[in-house]
Amino acid sequence: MKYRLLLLIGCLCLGVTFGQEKREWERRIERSEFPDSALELIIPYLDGANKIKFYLERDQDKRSYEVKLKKRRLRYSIEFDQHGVLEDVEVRIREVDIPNESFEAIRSDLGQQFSAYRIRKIQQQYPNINANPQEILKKAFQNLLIPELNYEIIIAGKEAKRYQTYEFLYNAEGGFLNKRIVRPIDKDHVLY
Amino acid sequence: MYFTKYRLALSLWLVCTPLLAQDGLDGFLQTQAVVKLPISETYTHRYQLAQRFYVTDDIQGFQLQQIDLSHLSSLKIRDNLRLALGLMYRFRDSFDRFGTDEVRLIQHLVLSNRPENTRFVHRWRAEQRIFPDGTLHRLRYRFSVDLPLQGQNLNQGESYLVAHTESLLSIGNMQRPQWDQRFTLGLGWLIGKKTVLLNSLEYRVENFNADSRQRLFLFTSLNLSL
Repeated sequence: MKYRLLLLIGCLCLGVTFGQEKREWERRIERSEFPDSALELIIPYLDGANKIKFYLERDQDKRSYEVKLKKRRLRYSIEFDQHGVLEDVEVRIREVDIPNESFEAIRSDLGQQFSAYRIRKIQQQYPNINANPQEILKKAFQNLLIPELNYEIIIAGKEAKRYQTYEFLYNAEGGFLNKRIVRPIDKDHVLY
Repeated sequence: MYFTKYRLALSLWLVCTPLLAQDGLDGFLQTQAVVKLPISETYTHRYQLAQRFYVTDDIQGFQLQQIDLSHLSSLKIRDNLRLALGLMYRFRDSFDRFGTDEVRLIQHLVLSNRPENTRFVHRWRAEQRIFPDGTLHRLRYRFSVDLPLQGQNLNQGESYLVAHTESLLSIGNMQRPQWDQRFTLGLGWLIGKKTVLLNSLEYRVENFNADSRQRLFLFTSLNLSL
């Protein structure tokens, strides 16, 4: 009996440690919390979609909104800035969906940077570069290969005996645009 | 919001306690503390102290059954593949007159995959359980699923759900081959930047190929990464 009480007290006391540090985070939100202007843009595309989830991401002082959905067996991610302006649309694809020449250029670049690497995720990105957001959404949901699209590739790359997760951005021809380190998705919160 | 989660865990515990008194079902409570120490980018040490209590027949309290001290050395072969070797000592002789101390050697391989928010993990483990009377070899396969409950990734202050199912085969001269099956459901919280509190419930069917026994475990684990 006394052990049960001690354990209870222990669990309750730990609660006071919550929220004492400033942090970057993302969380799932309700549809009602999503910006109205953004919601108006995507409503026509929610028809026939499932696994629709809304997220709020906060990165220091910057805030952005994201909606993820699955439609016609494709996974879409639509991002908006804090004012509800479309940033980009991303569609999850596989290696075979990238044109051969573009993919060869990408592989060549990755081979030069890493001794070993594993592609974890590929997304076809339709950025909103001074274009009509409705036009961008239309092209993305038609899965068109347009010159303005980019390929966003999440890689686990090995350099100097350690693995690090990177996000690479290539243009439609497979030309390198950007590289950044991303926070590891696989956290060790569960011990295996 | 946070106290709601604690109420959930507390409710789980209070509901389980009467279950532990059921005929044919043995009840146990195990509390453990784990410290994870990264030695390098790919190599980590893990130290664990666990105490197991069994529920007395009259459900008036818990009786200490054993204390486990263990160490695991883990090497990251690839970003989603780990190999580990470990050693455990179980102190049981001093607490349980029907049990004996045990030295356990552990080897396991872990493969994980995370297509979206949910992570799927396979663990293959071999153990050599060394008792004063002899050695038992045990092979284990565990399939696990875990996912964060508040977003795409687990952030500080958020909770996650984890479920396992594990098959075990024990072989040795001391006894006939024994098949066990375990089912686990847990709720965890990333309470600090590197501190996790996990409460889980495990149902075990032991020796189901012969004279089966059912056991219910309630685990509470505090995991700290340095």
